[in-house]
Amino acid sequence: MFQALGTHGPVLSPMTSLVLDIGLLVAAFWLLATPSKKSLGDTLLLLTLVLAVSAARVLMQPLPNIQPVTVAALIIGAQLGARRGAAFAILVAMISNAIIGNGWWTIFQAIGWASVAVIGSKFAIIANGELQRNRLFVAAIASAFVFDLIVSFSIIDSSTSIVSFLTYLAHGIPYDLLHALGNLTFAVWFGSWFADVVAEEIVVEEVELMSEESIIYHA
Amino acid sequence: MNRLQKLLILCATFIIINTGSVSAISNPSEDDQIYGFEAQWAKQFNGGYVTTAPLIDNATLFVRTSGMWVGQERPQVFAYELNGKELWNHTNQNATQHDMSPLKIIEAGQGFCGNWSKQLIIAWSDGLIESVEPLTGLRKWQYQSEVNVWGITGSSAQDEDKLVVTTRTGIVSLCLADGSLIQNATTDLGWRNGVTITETGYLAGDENGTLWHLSREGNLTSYPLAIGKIRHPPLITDAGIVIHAQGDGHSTIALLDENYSIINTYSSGSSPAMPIMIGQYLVTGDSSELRSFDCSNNCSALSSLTFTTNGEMAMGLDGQFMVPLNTAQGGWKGFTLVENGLLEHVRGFQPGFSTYTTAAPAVYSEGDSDWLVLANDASRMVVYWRGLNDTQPIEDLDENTTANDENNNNNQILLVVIFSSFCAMLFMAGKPEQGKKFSILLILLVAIIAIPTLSTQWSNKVDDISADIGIEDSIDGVEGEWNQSWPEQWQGTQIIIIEIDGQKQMMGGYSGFDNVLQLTNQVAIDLNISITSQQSDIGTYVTSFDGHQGQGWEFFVNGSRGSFSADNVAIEESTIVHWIPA
Repeated sequence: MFQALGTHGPVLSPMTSLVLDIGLLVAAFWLLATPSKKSLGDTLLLLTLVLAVSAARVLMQPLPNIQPVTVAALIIGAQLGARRGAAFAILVAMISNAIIGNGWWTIFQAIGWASVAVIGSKFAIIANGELQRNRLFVAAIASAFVFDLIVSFSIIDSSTSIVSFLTYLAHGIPYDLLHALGNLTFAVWFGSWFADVVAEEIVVEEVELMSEESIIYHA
Repeated sequence: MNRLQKLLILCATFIIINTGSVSAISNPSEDDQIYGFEAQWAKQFNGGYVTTAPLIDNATLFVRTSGMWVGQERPQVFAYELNGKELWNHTNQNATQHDMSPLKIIEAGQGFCGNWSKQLIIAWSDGLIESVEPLTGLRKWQYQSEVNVWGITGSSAQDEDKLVVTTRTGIVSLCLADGSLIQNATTDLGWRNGVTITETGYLAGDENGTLWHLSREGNLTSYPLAIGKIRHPPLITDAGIVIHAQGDGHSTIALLDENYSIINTYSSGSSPAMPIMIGQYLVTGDSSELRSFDCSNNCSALSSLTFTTNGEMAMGLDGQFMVPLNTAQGGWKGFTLVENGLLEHVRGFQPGFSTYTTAAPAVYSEGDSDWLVLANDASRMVVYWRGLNDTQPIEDLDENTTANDENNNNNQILLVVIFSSFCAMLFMAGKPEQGKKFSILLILLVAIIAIPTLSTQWSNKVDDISADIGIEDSIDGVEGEWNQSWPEQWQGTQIIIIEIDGQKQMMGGYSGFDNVLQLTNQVAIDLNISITSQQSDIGTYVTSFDGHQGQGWEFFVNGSRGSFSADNVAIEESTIVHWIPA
C-alpha cells in the first residue's frame, strides 16, 4: 500500500499509484458515460479542452499558484454541467500531474477542481445562454479558496493536529490570494471568450444532431 | 483588441517574469586579484552548485553545474573560450541527483574497436553517457546506463580503446569509436565511486564498502572490506591500493595488498575528500584534517594539518596542490609537500566570494600565460590569468553577455512602469474597460514578483504569532535551541541535524542559505549523504536520506515542525534545522 506516511501525506508505492490512476480514470469515464451517452463530437470537444488546459497548466507552472484550470473548470461546469465539468477536472489533474509530478495530492486536486466545476454548474454563471460576468468574477475568487482548502487536506495524517493544520493554512494565505487574483485575471481576460468557445461548439453539435434526426425522420 | 493580441501580451509577460532564471556573465570586481593572477571574467550560473572541477583543454574551458533536479533549473555543461565567449551548452532535463561525474577529455586514437576523434565525455545523473565534439558540443554517441534513483556520479577512465565508467549499478566499458557496449558487470549500488584502471582490469568500490575487480576477460570478483562507503576511485601506490572509506562519524584510510586484503588502516575524520597521489605521497582530507602519507613502502602517516575539505583536490600551479575549504569562509588553499612529505600551507586563494567549496580548481598554461579557474558551491566561477608580460589577454568582453542579475530586476521594474503608463493612458483615452483589464494584469504581475518576499515575511509573522500564543508543535528529542556541546564557531550560524538510524549527523557554521532545502542539499554534499526528493505542486519533499526512506521524513526549524515543503520554508542566519524520520 503506502510506502511511507509522513507529514506531507503518504508516499505512494508504484502499485498504489497505478490503482489511484485507474480509480481516477474510471471515475472520469463514469461521469462522462452516464446518464446519457454522448456523441463522439461531444467527447472530442471535452478531450480537446482537457489537453489544452493541461498544457496551459504545465506552461504556467513556473508562476506560483497561478492555476488556469480553476476558471476553466468553473466555466465548463457552468456550460456543460457538473458531470462533464468534474470529468474534465479529473482528467486535467491526471494529465498535467503526469508531467508536473504525480502523487497523493492528485486525488485532492482532482476533487478540488471537480468541486469548482460543481460550483460553476450551481452558481448560475450562465443564465439564458449569457455569461454573468460579475457572478463569474465572484465565483473565480471564491473557487481559489475552496480549491486550496481541499488540496490542503492532503497534508493531514495521524500526527497533524488541528492547530498545526490551521497554522499551515495561515502560512498559505498569500498564495491563496495570488490564486484568487490569477483566477480573476483569467476571468476578466478570457472568461467570455472561453464560455463562447464551449457554447459555440455545443450549438454546432446540437444543430448537427438535429439535422441527422431530421434526415432519419424523412427517410 | 483581438484574441491574438491578448495572447501575445500574456506570452510577453510570462517570458519577462521568467527572465529571473537567466544566468549572467560579468566583469569581476577589482578585488578579485590573487597572487599575481587577475580576474578576467566571471560567470554566475543558475542555482545549484559547481562541485566538480572545471576542465581546460586546448584553450577551451568546460564546466558543469549540479544540484538541480528539483525546481525549474537543470544541470548544464558549458564550453567557453578563455576570453569568456560561450561556445555551447548542454542541459539535462532528466537529472535525478547531483551531477558530479568529472568531465573527461579523450584524445583521438585508434584501437581494436575502431578509430575515434577527440571527444569530451559527459556522464549524467540520469545514467546517460555522452561523447561530444569538444568545440561544437555535437554528440558523437551516447549510452544509457541503468538508473536506480540516480545514475552516474563517479569518474570514468580510459583503457586503451575503451571508456570505463562506474554506473549506479556496476561497471561498463564502451568502445570509444561508437559507444557500443563491450562489458557490463553488475555490482552493488555506488555513489561517486569512480573507476581505476589496473594491469589486470578495473577497480571500483560501492556503498556497502565492497571493492570490486572486473577483469578484462569479464570476471567479476568482490572483496568486502567493511570499512565504510567507498566514494572515490581506488588509488594505486607503490605500497598497495589505498582507499579512504566513509564510516559513521569517522573515516578509515586502508592500505590493501595485491590480494585486496587490508594491510593496515588509519582512522580519521568524517566525510572524506577524494584522496590524491603526489609522487610517492598520499594526501587525504576530511572534515577534521589534511594528512600526508608516504606510500613508497607502507603508507606511513607523515603529517597533518587541521582543515575541512570534503570534495576534490588537485595539482595547481607553482608545484602546489590546491584544496577547497568546505566551510562558510570557503576558498582554496595551496599546499606543498616539503622535504620528507611534510605538509606546508603556502597560500590561500580567497576570491571575492565566500561560500562552501568542494570543486578543485582548473589550471592551464599556454605560452607566457597561466590560467586559473575557480568555481564554488554558489555556482560562481571566476577565470584568472597571469602572464610574463603585462598585456591583458582579454581586451573586452562581449557586451551582449555583460548582463547580470540586476538587469533582471531592471527588466521587471521597466515592465511595471510600462504597464502602469499604458493603463493610465487607456483610462485617459476614455477606454475604462480596457484600462481595467490591463490594470488587473498589472496587479497580478506585481503580485507574482512580490510573492516570494511577501510570503516569507508573512510566514515569519505567522510563526511569531504562533509562538506568542504558545502554540508549540515540537516533539521530544528535537534540537531547537543552542546546545552547549556544539562548537562555539557555530553560534549564530545555520546548523543542521540529520538523524539517520538513530545516529545524529550534524553540521554547522553555514550562512546565506535561504530555505531548508538549500541548506539540506548543501549539507548532504558535505556529509556525503545522498538525498532523494519528490517534487509536487506544493513544493519539494525529501523522501529519503542515504536510502533510508522509512515512514517518511519531517523537519523542524528551531524546534517547530515545518509547515511547508522544505523549499518553501525560509530560514534565517541563526537557525537550527533538524531532520528526523516521521
